[in-house]
Amino acid sequence: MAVGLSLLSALASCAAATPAEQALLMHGELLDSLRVLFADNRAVYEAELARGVQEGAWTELEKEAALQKAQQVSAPGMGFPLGPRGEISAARRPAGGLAFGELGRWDPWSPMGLFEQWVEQRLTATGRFWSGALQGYAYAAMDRAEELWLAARTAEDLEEAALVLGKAKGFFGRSFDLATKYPASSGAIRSRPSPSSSFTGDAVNDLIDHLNVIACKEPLFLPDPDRDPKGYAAARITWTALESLRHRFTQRPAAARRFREDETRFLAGAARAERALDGAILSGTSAAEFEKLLQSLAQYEVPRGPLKGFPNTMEGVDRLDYHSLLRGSPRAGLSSNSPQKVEYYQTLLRWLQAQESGDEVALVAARRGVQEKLSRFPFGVAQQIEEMITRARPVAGATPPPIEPAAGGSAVEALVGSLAGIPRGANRNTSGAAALAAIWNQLRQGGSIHSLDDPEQCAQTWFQLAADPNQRHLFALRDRAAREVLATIGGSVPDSLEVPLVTTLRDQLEAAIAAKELDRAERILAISAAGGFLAREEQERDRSELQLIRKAAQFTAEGEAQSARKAYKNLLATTVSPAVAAVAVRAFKDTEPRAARPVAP
Amino acid sequence: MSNTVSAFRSLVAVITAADSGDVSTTQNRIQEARSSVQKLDAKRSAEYEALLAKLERAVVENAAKAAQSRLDTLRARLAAIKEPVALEAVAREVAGWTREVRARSGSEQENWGQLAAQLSMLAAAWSAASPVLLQQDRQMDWEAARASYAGEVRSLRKRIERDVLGRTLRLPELNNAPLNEKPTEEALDALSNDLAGRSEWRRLYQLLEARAGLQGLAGRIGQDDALPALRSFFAAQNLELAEQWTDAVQAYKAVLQAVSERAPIKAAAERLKALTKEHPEAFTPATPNAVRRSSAPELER
Repeated sequence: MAVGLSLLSALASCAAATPAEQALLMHGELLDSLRVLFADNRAVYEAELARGVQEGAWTELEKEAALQKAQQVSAPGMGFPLGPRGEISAARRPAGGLAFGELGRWDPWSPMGLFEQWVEQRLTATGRFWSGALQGYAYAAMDRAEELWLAARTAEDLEEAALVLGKAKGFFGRSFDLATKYPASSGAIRSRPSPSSSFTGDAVNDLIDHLNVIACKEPLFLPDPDRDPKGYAAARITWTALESLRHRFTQRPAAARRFREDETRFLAGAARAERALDGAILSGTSAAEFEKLLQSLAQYEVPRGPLKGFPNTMEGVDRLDYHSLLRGSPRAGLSSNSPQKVEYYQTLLRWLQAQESGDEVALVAARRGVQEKLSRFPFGVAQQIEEMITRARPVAGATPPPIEPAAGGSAVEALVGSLAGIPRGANRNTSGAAALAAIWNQLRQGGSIHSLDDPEQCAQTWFQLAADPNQRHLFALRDRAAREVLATIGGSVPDSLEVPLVTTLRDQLEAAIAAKELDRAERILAISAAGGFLAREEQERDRSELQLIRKAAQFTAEGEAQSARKAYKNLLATTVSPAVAAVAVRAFKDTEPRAARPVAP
Repeated sequence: MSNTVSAFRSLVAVITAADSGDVSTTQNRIQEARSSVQKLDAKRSAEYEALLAKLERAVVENAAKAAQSRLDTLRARLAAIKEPVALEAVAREVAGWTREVRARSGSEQENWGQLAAQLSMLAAAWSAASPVLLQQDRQMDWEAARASYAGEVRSLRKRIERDVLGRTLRLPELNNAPLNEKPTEEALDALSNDLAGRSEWRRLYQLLEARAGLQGLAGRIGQDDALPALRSFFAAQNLELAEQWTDAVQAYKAVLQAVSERAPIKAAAERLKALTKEHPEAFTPATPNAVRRSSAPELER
């Protein structure tokens, strides 16, 4: 009767509340009433047992055994099970009419066994009743929590839901603890703990999954995708990750429906922002306008970095390692259908900014970036972009400014960086450009012609670069780098860029040979080879002449004057270089045997 | 109803694309519109189909006109180019045309990609004053010889050659009067003759060698024998300095075998006369090696 009255009063008090709220109140009242009832039962139960002893129905020992049994199997918070008065007495006389104690104490079918059986039945019956009420309350709490979650757009909106779920958790008491304190396994994804007792059913697991998204430090809610796309973009990752793990909260129909609705609005918003950018590209836009539009799209970008996890403070829930669960595949699965195009548009923004600033170096770098991402744009837009970046020149002037390395930086370094940064497909020999970068790096570190693997390949790569209008800047950089390396190996390098590098190199080579600085001459040839400055025949001729001079000098040092003279004479008969001829004439005369030397007329 | 709306939308898309002047997109839109129009009733479908066919013809004709106009403009621009920067700009622009051709399934016949590469190569050679790049361009020039803009490119190349040779070989007279008023080949011939007349053999050798490199295989086949004669002359001078009179005499004699008017025949003959007096012993037979060396130096390497 008390229970009924409580329910009525509860229903009356919440006439204006939502159905979920009303159901929760009703289940709460029912549980409270049962708790009171079961708590009273202990006293009644003990009194009944004492009365049985007085009447001689059973002994004091049997009474103690019954109390102990009830104590062991009683559900927490449930008190002692007891039906209407007189039932315990009836237990002494089972259906077969056999008197209690007639079959002896040690017979399994003895009255004592029958008594225990009765206790067990009573406990089971009341346990089911309690379990049903508890589950009813838990699901009512979860329904109410979901109702609040559906309306929540901020973390504060979920405070009431957290309280409701917390109260349900309290009712489960020991069984909740047993379920959540399931021993941890070493794997990232653990088995969900099974209910610790028969009467808790599946409700505990459901409740755990509601608690760990709502009643935690960083509760999961879906911000309005139109008003807060950035917040929603972060939340949707978590949601999708949980969904892929079959998290029970994400399987609630209303919540899942809400996510799908929000997701549709979010993706539509992202598509709108993208269309606005595409439209701006097609119709022509300024960098500032494009940047503004890009900021809108950036709101929809999938956030980078580690995902936010779930509560690690709440008792029990921390054992379900959601941080581990959220790593890897669930997130990777998002990338294909998520708006992740900001990066591609950013490359175009950089190009627009470089174009407006007239910075040729930045423009070349930006163009390269855009070309790499071109395939990511819709076909028509990609065509438009390609046309833009191909035809455009810096606004600042028709003549691109000279390419300078960074202030105080090295032209060789800039060249190495530029060559190494040539994207695949920019010319037919991307690996050639990488090899060139390595060779220039060697030159910077003092490498000689012997360190060049294949000078001929260098020239071929430069030819390919020359045929690509987008790589034209490299030639000015190459000449500067060559002058820089030339300066490091001595000799005077003309300040004026008007003197062509090939002329400077030839002059330097002649000067080095004339001064018998053969190492320097070889390094000059290495620069020439790395830059593809001299023609192949010229390069080969100079190289073999240098080798012949070295060889002849070696013969002289080893005392093989005849061999040395033969080598020098060979040089004299073939060289067109005045410097080589001068060196050879001098050396030839020096190696002449004095006795054989003819007297001058 | 939905078919009508769809057809109407596709027609609007065609008109919008046609207004933009993008032939490729317009043709795509026309194809899409045809599919939509076919879903309408027969009478309307026929009307719209006729409209689309007319539009398509106009688009193709306009594209052909635009292509011709572009070619004319290109020729004029190539003829007017005075500096590498202007050439680079044209190369970049033409590189953009390459992609347009691809998008139109090759409706234009010109190989803009090849032209862009050639112009880019020429621009690089010009701005870097690189004879090596000009040599490389010579190979591309052969491939592009039959293009409708070949004449303009050839003329441009000649201008670049003159400038590059003038700068790298320190021949400022090439770009000064009276040579600057002559066509490149004529100016180079005149300068070569002038250098030979002034006995500036080193400069002459450099010029002839550079020209031979720029002219490629055809140039080498048709060139006179001044270059080998000059090489023999230099060898003879070297050997004379080393007091190898006999070998020097042989090398000078090799010069005399040349038929080119630019060969240093007179200078070689004078040295031989002098050596006859100074070193008569050098005119005794033997030492054929020196002759062979000087006339075919590559064999010695």
